[in-house]
Amino acid sequence: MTVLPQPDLQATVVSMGVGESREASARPAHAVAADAFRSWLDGDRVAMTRLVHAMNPVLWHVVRAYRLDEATAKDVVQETWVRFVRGYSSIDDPSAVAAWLMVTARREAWRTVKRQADATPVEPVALEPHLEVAPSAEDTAVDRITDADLWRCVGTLSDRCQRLLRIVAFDDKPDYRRIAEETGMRVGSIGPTRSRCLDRLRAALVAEGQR
Amino acid sequence: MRPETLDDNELLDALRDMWMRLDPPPEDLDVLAIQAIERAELDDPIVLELMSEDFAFENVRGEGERTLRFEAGTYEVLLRIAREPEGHRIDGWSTPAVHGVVRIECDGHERVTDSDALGRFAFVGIGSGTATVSLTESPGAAPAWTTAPFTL
Repeated sequence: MTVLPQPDLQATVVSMGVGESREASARPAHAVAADAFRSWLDGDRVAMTRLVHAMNPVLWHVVRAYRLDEATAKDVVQETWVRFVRGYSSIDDPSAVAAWLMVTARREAWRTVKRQADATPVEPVALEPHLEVAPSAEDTAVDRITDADLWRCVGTLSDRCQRLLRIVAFDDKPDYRRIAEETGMRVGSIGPTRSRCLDRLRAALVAEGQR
Repeated sequence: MRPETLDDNELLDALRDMWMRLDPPPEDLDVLAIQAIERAELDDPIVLELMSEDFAFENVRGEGERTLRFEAGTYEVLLRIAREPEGHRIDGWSTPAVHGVVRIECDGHERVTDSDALGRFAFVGIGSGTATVSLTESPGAAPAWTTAPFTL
């Protein structure tokens, strides 16, 4: 067995999504992942740590979109990597490794949700410890949408909207066919549903600002 | 930045940033992932334990069907076994559903088939004895799982 070195968390700056503008110097996760996967296939064992470090934040948020608790979400991410080790040779195009991992993570998360017939959705209280109670000075700036506003407003949307928005926020190439299977929507309705969910969120934010 | 002025992509960017700040990945997630990868690379297949065995239409000659359910972690395999004149017929269904090579070994005899995209597979004409069924996802890789031995 090759013992992989621990990831150097400072080694790679990774952008989580498609937004090139937010961090001009950051490379999209799927590009970092593709390079790391190619290196790993060429025998660079250390490249696995780069692949994990690039993709784990994305996989985490994709899995958490299914409202799994933290411990279960950790298990699902680990299982995703196990499935990668056993199935990577089926990835014909290394540039597709990020999409493959995200689809696998979503499939595992969805299966876990279905298996846990008595699964209890994560209660808001369980997700809120990271939320600052008092707005920071920066947040109180006029017209600024705070994280707290977004958190509250997205929480008023339906479960379907919350899941769909979190998936598409972190998956720059979402597989609409599989999302349709998981949400009971028609493939053709996902785009319009995404727009409606964002409209509702926008309306909720406007209403929040008028309080 | 007024919410009504944000387009869809800007709003999704804001959501992504918010989730990254308020629900970040656990600090130990990378280490746990690496450890899971190392364990998987040890090539030890997951052994699925027999969880239940249901009989249907069994007659005095032992003909009929039975269904075995194996499980371990997130893996589950159902085997419906029917006795036919030419041997046992085994219809299997595994989750997670993956294309793969399914192998049955029964008292030194081995047969191989493919599972379809829904995780289904079938064997016919299998003799009696002690058997195991295993699945390999990639050519040359070690089995992802194998069932505990069962009797045919």
